[in-house]
Amino acid sequence: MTEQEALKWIAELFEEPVENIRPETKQDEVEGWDSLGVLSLMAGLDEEFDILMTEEEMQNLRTVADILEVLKKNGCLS
Amino acid sequence: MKKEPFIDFNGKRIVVTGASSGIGQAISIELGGLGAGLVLIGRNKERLEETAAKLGPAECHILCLDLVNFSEIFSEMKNLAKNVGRIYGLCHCAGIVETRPLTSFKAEKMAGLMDVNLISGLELARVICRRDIMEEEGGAILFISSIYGTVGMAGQIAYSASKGAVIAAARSMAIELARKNIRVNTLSPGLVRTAMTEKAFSVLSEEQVREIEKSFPLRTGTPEDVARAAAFLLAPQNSWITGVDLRIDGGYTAQ
Repeated sequence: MTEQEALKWIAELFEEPVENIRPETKQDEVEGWDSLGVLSLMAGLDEEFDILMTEEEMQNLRTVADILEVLKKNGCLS
Repeated sequence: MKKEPFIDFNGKRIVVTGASSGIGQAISIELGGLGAGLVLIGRNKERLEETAAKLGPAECHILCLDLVNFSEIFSEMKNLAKNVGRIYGLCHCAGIVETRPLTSFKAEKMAGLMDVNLISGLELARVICRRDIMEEEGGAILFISSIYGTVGMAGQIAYSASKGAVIAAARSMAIELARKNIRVNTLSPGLVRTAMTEKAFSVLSEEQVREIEKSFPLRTGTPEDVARAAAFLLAPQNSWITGVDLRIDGGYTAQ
């Protein structure tokens, strides 16, 4: 997956227009990235990429770049 | 002082499933008469067009969709919204009923009822409640359940389970979606004589049917009775009603 495709996936997950999701975008700038959004992200990472995250690890994701980093570390980002 | 109308949808678009006949058709007509734009979903294009013809000047779009093809629901609805604009609400009327005693219970029949009566409604809600699909100010979801989701009836184990599940799911959805200003309610009608209920009655004796009719203190219901209550729960003017199951049953459950 390219970074652009990953950003599109994240935008879709948080129900945001793709132009609002950039690596520097912070959690509190994304309306859909609330406590339920965290659960959706956790489920999405598991179902789409087989990436299992703990709740603590999820809480440490604060920016879109952090999510991209997770994808990269798990070999899902080219 | 100008009085605001009691109910006015003012062009807001509502998706109605099961719109080909019975309760779904009646609700579509009622909502259209109160200013709503309609998206009619059903399996039979001809019958959807019959419903559309009864809507008068209301905005109307037809989507032929078999709701048990879950994988199609998301993409079809996203596509539709892209073409017609923001959606305000969903009224999930599509449902199936089957009279089957426990002795002839079959897991696959149960699954079939759950698929249509519950899961397809949740799948539709999942896409309609998206921030990029629903109106920005929020909206309203209404699931048509049944009094048999709360009280028992011989031969209706699977149906009762599916309708009870609808009520329970809607309650949690109401809490979860309040943050998006989306209201979620259920409407539980008593016995409404429609083509679907006639089919369920066909396996009963005349005496059994008479007994059932007598058990409703006022009378059995009409699709229009249900439609008026549905419009009330969906109306944007009733913005403080959520998490409610409204029973309309001619007094049946008051006994």
